[in-house]
Parts: sequence; structure tokens; C-alpha cells
Amino acid sequence: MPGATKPALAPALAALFIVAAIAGASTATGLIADPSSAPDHLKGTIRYIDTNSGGLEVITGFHLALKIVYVHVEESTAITMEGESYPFSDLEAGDIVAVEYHEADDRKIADSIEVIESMAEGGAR
Amino acid sequence: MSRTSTFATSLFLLAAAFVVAGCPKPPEPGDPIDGLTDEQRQMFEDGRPIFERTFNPETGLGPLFNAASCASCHAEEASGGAGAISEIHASEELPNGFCDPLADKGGPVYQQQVTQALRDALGIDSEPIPDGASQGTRTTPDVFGFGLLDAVPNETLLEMADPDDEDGDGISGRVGRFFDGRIARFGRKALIPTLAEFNEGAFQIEQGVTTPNVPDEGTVGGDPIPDGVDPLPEPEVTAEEVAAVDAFVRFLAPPARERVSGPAERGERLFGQIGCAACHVPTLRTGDNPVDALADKEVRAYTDLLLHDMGPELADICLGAATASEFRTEPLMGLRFMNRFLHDGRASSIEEAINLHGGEAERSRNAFQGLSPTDRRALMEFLNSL
Repeated sequence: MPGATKPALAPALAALFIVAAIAGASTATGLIADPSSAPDHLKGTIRYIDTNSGGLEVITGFHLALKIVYVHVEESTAITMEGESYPFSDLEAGDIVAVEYHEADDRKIADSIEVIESMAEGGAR
Repeated sequence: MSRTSTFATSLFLLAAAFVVAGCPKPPEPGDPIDGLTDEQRQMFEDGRPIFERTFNPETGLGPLFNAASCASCHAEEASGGAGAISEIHASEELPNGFCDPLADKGGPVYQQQVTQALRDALGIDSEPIPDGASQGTRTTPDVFGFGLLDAVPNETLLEMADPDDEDGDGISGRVGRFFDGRIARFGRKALIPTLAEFNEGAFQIEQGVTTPNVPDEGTVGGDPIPDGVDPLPEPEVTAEEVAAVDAFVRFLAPPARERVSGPAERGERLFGQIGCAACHVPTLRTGDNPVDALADKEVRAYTDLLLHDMGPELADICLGAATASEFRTEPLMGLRFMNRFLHDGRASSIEEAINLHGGEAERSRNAFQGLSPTDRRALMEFLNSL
């Protein structure tokens, strides 16, 4: 419907301009969004492993405003390090991990956990 | 006066005028860096009043806070300077060596002040620190030149790091890291990766003022904030206000060094000869940057932005990648304006601070103590020129 395109163009361009302006302002001052704030992905350091219920407490946050995110680990959760499978039992406090998760019943269920750096190799130490 | 001498005098005055016009005034504390565009300069000026704004509970202060404005701590010489206000950080080292920042108990920063509403609700005057936690006092650093420090590439830090002391010089140096693994450089324990995060996060951590990236007030020692003590909707400052303060801090120039005399020049050589410059690296270079005034610039920072073991006498808390005895090398830009030294302000003079250096700095400290009085004075003259 060609006639419908024109009226939609102006608001679309305006929206694009606003987005570009905000992005430009952020770049000018070096302001960078917190990469750990994406809704279905987080990076952080394991603080505690709940072996009974199969869950992880992960420290994340912004500056020194830190928070603990509880992530449930299921049998289907893929845990890897450098592309290789990594046993849940080898995870320890201090490991730096990237977690992909989905929310169900007000819980964060880990789809995958990638160990970026293990405590044994330095981790968050 | 002859025509020849009049002509010579005129030429001299003309030349002097060109020299004066061509040489920008050396930056004083609180001045912006040279080379900003008009727009950047305007952002710097727009940010200053927000940096100096005194918040109250009606405008977002608290309920927990350390100070009511950025400038009430960063106050000496000019807004952005060091200050006399200290704060308390705490953490706990777990048996496997992992450093717990006590995020579930209000850590790692324990605010020393509360609003009247929180005092009335809980009967506290400061955020409670968990029993058994290690505690450390932190003084207010100046933030002059931090935009240039932010613009130094991570690769530079990685090139300077020598975590296993493979070169055998007794100096290791490790990069700090945030909890998500990113390389970090700001804070005494090198935990904050970027200046943008350092600036925005301080609103909430230091003043209890929420921001777009830190939109909640946190907890009181791990317990929820009582209902009704902080009625202002979040965030309490806008992204534009945060960006303006970021621009103000980012564009603050490092104070120019004083003109040095012969002894100070000799002191500078001694600074290198006795090993101080191994960690307090005199010059870093910035990389590419969207702000031309910050790109590809030499910065006389006297730091490597790395973590070094400073010995058991100075050790207090672990945090992030840093052990209790590790601290990031303090930049020495503007050192002559300081009157408290080391991370907790325990030293009241530069000489006392040097004498308290241990760990990786022990050899240099011993060398300093072995200098002749004349050489020691020369070294102090150099340091007092920074």
C-alpha cells in the first residue's frame, strides 16, 4: 500500500534521528551501557554454588552497586569452557561466567553457561 | 633611544607577544583540557553545576549516602580535587581465595550517613557492616586528568603487566578486572573498567542518587529499604545530567607541572634510578578516541594503572582481582596539591608515604632511605613539582 508509506516516513525518520542523537551524545562523552544489563544474558563472577538445588549465585552490577543474581542450572544447561564441556561439579566461587538464560515461574533458568575464566586460572582473584 | 634600539625593542615585544599568544596558559586545577570543541566545552561547563549540586532527600539524596554532592568530597583546590572525606569499604576472603564483596549484605561500600527518614525508620546512623568483614578506609582522590587515563588503551596495560615477574625485576603488576571479566583501572583496587561507569556509579554509591544505569537504591546491609523513606521516583537524575557530569570529569585537565629547577631535574632522574618509575610510569599514551582532545596524547600520569603488592603493613581488604595487599599504582598528577597520602590517608607527607611502601616497592623504599640528604631533598623537590 504505497500511500501508507509516506505518512509513516516522517515519524520513523524522527525516531531514527532521536536514536542517532542519543547514540551520538553517548559517544561524545564515552558513556557506555553496562553490557551485563541485557535481559537474557549476564556476565559475572560466581559467588556461591548451591549443589542441593542446582543453582548459582552470580555477582554482577554496575560500578560498586553490585547485586547477586540467582540462576537455576538444569540437566539440559550446557556448561562449557573454551568450547569443551565443563562439569557442574568443577564450577567454584570466583569463576567468571557468561550465562544465557530464560525466565520461567519468576526464576532465571540457565540455558548455557560459558566459563570465561576459572578461579583455578586466576578468575576474579 | 636610537632608531636601531627602538626597532630592536619593538621586534622583541612583537616576538614576545607572539610567544605569549601562541602558548596556552598552563591548566590550573579545575580547568578543562585544551583542544575541546565548543560543544564539548559547553558540556564541560554544563556538568560543573551538577557536579557541585547539593542534593537533599527531596531531590534524591540517600537514604544511604557518604556525601551530599560530588564537590563536597572532591573539593580541594577546585571541583574535581582531592578531599578530606573518607569512606569505608568491606569484603571477606573465602577459603578458596575468592574475594566476596558482600553484595548481598550491602557491600562493598558502607555508607556513613543516612537521611532523617531512614534514621527514624531503623534507628541507624550509618550502614551496618557485617561482623567479621575486613574493612578499609578510602580517602577521596582527585579526578584531574581521569579522561586521559580512561583513553589509555587496555593493550597498554596488558603490555606493562608482568604478573609472574618474568623479567625478574621484582616488580610484577597485574591488571584489575571487574566481575564480568573486563579489564579495569579506576578505584584503589582497579575494579571499575571505565570512567563512564566510575562517574555514573558514584551518584548512587556516594550520594544515594539513582541513575538510568543504577536505578535502584540497593539495600541497607542486605535488607530492603523500608517503605516510604525514599519516595522520589527512580532514576533521580536523568541520562543528560549524568552525561554532563561525565563530560565535566572527563575533560578536567591534569594540573600542569611546575617549572623545575636543577635539583628537581636531578630528583626526577633519581626517581627512575631507584626504581619508583617501574610502577609510577612517568608517561602513558592515549589511543584512538572519539574526542580529539583525548586522542593520541601523552599523559604524564606517573602510574601504570596496574595492581601491585604493597606489603602487609598497608594491606586491608581484597576486592575484585586485588588481594588485601594489592593496590593500583596511584597517579601522581597534581601530587603537590595533596595533603593526605596513600589509599587511607594514613601518611601526612610524601616522605612518610614513601617510607610506608612495602612489598614490590620495598627495594625502592630502601633505596630512597639510603639516599644522601641532598639527593633526598632533590627527589622531594621533583615530587613536589608534580
